[in-house]
Amino acid sequence: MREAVAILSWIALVAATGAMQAHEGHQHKVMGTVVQVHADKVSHVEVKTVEGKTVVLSCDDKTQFMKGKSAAKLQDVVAGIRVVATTVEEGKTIRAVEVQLGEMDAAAKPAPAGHKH
Amino acid sequence: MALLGLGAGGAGLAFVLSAGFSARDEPTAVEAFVARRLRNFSIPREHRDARNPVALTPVVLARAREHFADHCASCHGNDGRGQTTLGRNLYPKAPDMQLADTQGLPDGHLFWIIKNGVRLTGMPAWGEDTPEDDSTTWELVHFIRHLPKLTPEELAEMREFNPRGRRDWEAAEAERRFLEGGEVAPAPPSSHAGH
Repeated sequence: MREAVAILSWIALVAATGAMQAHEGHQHKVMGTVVQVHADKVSHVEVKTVEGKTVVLSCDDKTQFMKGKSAAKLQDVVAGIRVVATTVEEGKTIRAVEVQLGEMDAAAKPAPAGHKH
Repeated sequence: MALLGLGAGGAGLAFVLSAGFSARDEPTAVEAFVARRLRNFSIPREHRDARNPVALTPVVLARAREHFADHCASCHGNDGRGQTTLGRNLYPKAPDMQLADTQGLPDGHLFWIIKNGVRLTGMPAWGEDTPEDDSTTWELVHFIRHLPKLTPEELAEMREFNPRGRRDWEAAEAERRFLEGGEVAPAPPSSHAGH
């Protein structure tokens, strides 16, 4: 009898675990050009991906920013810059684990001033 | 009391039969507590308090960093935070080794876990029972202690040593070209970074 109670209690404990499912997603890569940055406690970086979608990345104090092999900062993320972000989905939020910063997108660069004659 | 246990067990059984199990779940506090105690029991006392016999030098740390990136980072991540596809979906999940739960463990404890693994978790036993492999494991203990002080430059260097398949290399190359302002390559097939 005691054994049966112990086994069933253990099942109850494990079942309680099952009820607390936290479906977290895989890591994904987001490759695109920064459209705008909203810097706050949790900063949001809006990126237009190479597939043409718009994705908003949440960046917090754990997000690592890199430029090549050197450390960078959120302040280095500006509109028009190319980025490749490693992200995880947490509910409806796309959290950036790491953001690699690249060059300014050619389309975002201001056109060179024309010659004046 | 027995009736209460039977009732809870019956309800639990009904839930399990309808919902099943998933490794995505988070262990309950009770389960985590019991598992930690059992893990501690699995380590003989004389090993638990062993001190690291390998002197810490920049060469040792660099070697351990490379070894960690090659063997451990698939689950633990280069930074030891466990934020990888494998680490986040293990049961229990790979721990954040920068935190006190890991950093507060004695050297001998960390050594034992690496060498012998942890039963019923994703942590395997590493290496053979040889002085050479033991020395490598002690070097990893040094690296685990260094995790909270890891620099972005060290992380960038570690990425070179992470195991990759051909698709990952191609995806990394496409990303590099994109960041340098090159033409956009077709979407790489390995859009799951951890796969």
